[in-house]
Amino acid sequence: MMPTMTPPIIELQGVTFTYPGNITALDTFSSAIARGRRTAVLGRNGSGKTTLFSLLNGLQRPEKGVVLFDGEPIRYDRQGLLKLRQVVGMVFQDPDSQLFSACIYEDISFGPLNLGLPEAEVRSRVENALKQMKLEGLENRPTHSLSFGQKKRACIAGVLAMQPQLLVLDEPFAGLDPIMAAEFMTILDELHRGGTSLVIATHDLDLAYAWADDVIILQDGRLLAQGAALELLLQPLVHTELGAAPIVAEVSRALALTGTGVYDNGYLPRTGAGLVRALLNQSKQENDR
Amino acid sequence: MRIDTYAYSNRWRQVHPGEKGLFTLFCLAAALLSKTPLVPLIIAAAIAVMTVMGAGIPWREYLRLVVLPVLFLLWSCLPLAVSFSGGELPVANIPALHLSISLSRQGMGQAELALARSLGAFLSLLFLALTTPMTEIMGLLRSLGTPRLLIELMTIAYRQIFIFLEITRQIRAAQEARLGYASTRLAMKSLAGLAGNILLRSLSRARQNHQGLLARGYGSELLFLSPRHTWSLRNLIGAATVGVTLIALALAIQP
Repeated sequence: MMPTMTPPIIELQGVTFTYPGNITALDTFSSAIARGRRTAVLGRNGSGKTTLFSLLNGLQRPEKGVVLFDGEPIRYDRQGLLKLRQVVGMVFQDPDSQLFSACIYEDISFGPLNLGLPEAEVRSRVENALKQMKLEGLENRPTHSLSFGQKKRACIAGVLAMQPQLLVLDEPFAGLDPIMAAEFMTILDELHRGGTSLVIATHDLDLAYAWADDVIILQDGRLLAQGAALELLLQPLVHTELGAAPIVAEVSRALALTGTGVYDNGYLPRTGAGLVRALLNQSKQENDR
Repeated sequence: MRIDTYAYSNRWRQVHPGEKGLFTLFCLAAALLSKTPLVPLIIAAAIAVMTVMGAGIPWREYLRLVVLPVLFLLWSCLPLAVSFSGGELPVANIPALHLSISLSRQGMGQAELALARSLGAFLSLLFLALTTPMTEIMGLLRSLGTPRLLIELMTIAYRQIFIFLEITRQIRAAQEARLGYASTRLAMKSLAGLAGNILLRSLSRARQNHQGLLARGYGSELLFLSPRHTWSLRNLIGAATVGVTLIALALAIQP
């Protein structure tokens, strides 16, 4: 379960980043993101999540320290950045800051064309991305008439068409209604099964607990903790810093105090539904006895 | 904005923009080349019928879009007909100013021709605007070899207009919710705040957009492909035949 067992896809070593006006966003920050896994980055507002993300995609350059992709330090010349941005796809929180054209077909073709691919290849990638994001039929509608969720999917399609190995999403669930969020989750899971490594920033601890393999927790630009989601998100230290706990973890802990051990048989419920199922099973067993 | 909505939802939306563009171009040329008002008026009538019956733009909406520019045309053609130096048809005489106002036959002819030409040309362009989305018109201009920079600017400007309108709407709603427009004085103050705020928001938005483009490997060119459309031979032949006939008529009919 430990992320160190698989080689990291991207690694930050002692990275410091300061914004103009001496605002330190990241302070000697070191962390690694494991290949093929789902990582959630947690932290309060202003803890450095967005800065961390822009470093992963080469949008910002560390002042001190290095960012390594596949063990190699990132080169910040035109070729190096182009290579990095192909393998690390970045999805911004606000779709309007990413979609530049009123036609999503044109928008999706942008990334692959920047990679210098031939037209036929670009067109087939655009069509695949439209299909993958369930946007078929919408490519003829203007961007400004699309819903928030559709625009969000268009943004991801634009990044997927570049076929990245790592997809970085800033607050992908913010502003989505529960149904759209569930659909979106399915899409992310499909990508994960397809071998894409995923990193998301979120404030939703329940979501992180239910979805992520690993978590990275930031505190004032420093790494507070990093490790397996199921272990780390149960720690009181984390709850204090983030101001909340995953509800499943809280309920389980409360139940454990009353003597009802949900975890006894080694089963760890990750969602509310899972917990309810575990409790029902247990009471059935007790009744049978 | 209404034009934009129809451009995306009319019955001829899926027709190749090149076909619509070609037809518009022919009509435009014929209307402007014509030496008599007859041909441009025929074009105006025909293209109005096509826009309403063919592309399915509701005629009330169409009239609403047309009426203002037509009034403007009428007013601007009027001075052509009026003469202050002895036309054939006297209108008024002001002895005190030694001024006689009259209509001249030559001027009236010019006014009629200018009016007919402008009307034909205007309705032709409106036809294209109502049936073809902006992005497709830009795609068309691109394939005709319009300078890259111009197309890039148009693409970004067109998208940003809608974002800009949305931001304006939001700020205005927030101001109105706090009685920002309750009096003229307050309205002036709120409007100034609105303008300042929009500037700041636009600047930060521009920065974000630039980051968004960089994240996908933006170099120095805004590269993109437009969706493919299929040419219809029937439409092409139709557009070309009608167009060439109109131009021939325009050139042939002498005053």
